[in-house]
Amino acid sequence: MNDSNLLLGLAVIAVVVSVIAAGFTYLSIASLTTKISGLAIGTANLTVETQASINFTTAVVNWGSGKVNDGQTQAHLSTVGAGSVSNGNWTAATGLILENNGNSNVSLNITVGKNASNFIGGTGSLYFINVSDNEVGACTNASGFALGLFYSANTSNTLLNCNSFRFDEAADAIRIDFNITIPENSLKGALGDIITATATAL
Amino acid sequence: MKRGLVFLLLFLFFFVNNSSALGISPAVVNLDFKPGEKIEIDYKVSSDFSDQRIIVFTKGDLAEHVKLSTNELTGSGMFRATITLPDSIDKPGPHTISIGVEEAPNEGGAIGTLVRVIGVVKVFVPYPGKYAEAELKIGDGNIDENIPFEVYVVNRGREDINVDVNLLFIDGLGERVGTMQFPSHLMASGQEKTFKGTLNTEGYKPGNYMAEAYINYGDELMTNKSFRIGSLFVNITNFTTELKKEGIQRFSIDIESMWNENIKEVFADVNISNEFESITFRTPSEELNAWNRKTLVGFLDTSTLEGEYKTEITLNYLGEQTVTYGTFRIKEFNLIYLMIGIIIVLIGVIVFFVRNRKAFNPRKK
Repeated sequence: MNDSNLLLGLAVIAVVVSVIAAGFTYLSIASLTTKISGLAIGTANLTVETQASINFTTAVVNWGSGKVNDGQTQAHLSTVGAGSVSNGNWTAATGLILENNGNSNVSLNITVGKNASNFIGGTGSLYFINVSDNEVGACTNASGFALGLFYSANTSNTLLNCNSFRFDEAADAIRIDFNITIPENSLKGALGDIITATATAL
Repeated sequence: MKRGLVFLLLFLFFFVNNSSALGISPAVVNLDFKPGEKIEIDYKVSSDFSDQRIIVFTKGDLAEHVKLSTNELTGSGMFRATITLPDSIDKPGPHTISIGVEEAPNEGGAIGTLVRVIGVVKVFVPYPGKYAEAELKIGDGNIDENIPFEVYVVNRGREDINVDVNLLFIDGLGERVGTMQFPSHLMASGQEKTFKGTLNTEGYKPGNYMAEAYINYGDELMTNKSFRIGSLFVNITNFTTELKKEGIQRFSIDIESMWNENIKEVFADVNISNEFESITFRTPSEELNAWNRKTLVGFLDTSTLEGEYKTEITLNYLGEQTVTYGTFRIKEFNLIYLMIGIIIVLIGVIVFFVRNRKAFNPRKK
């Protein structure tokens, strides 16, 4: 009997405590709601930075080591498409891909560091460069050249002036291809040139 | 040892084919020339490689007034350019300072690359006297809507100006259909202001319009821009009128939206009929963007059709319909044309032999 009364008492206390706690919870939520939906006035500040940025996603043309085949006077190396090598045993390589990965249109200028004679040397060496849209519309207002045509690489000329190299995701990449002819009496050893891409914010 | 070799080969592969990215932010900073003013600009440089050596440089016609906090960075980083403008610049107009970064060459193969990226600081030197530039912006809209517009004005002169902005709205027939006037506004040298308003198109007809903004500041400047007021109408501009009698054929319907919002679903019900038969088919549904053109294509089995039919095309979109009527013809293979062709060829062959009979006669040799 005493045990039953004790249990009953504890149960009543538990119910009373629960009711009081529920009341506090209700008041707290009501107060919080007032604070959330009340008269708070704020200012959202957001600044979007401008950035000029370019990225050679394929930054190197590497044909590896090779030589003109026996019985041939010259070899031809091209980066067009998947790349090709004829009359030589170099490894075919693809062209350079340059992307405008910033959020500003830029003007783009591409120059070579050498011409055929000091890059490859020998008799009848050729060094040609070709710039094309890797994504249609990437290079607009090209001046002094036509997209997709090969031009003789020449250090004294500004090869390519893309007056607007766009940053739009669907049209922000160009491709730079090369055609070179290596004669059997070319320079020997590790031959190389550097292509410089200069992007200026518009 | 073998694992080490594989790692070395992979390392070489990625090193040789790596990317080469370089960026500078902010890309463009615009300043109005104030004699002797000192401006500090903090630049962020981003690079793919933490150990990349990057050269910081400046050039341009005011480059001698720029001091860089560093001339070299390693990998991504920041630098400050402090520009102390001279007391005077003789030549008014825009002047450009280039602040750039250049990475060391990427020399993994026969042809390597070098990237140089240049941010620009455009310093504008005011023109003598009063000089303002303005730009009007207004977009397309729909009838019974408010079309927002804004006139941006900048005082490019050395003197303060009092600016009055008036707008005219002209319809496609050249008639003035609306005007708007802003209160006069005093603008100090170098100050810019955007005058914003809305054009209520209630009562306007759908079509092409021209907005003209007249900016009077002692001198007058006019800038204009065309815009369109659309109605919920999709026009059928062309459709197939002739098909070969050759199985399943494409039936095309060219459409053009006159509405300034995208229409999610546009499709056409096509009925072709003559006194003997009636055939109905529906084109797939297409989304039509604002003011855009599109071609809807349905398919029709022409193998049992003959002669000429009446065409009724019902275009369905947003609960509206555009209906157009026309005729449609089945182009059949015509035997008589073939016969005429064969006869012409035969006559040609006979004439050729008659004219050259001596050459073909062996007894005359």
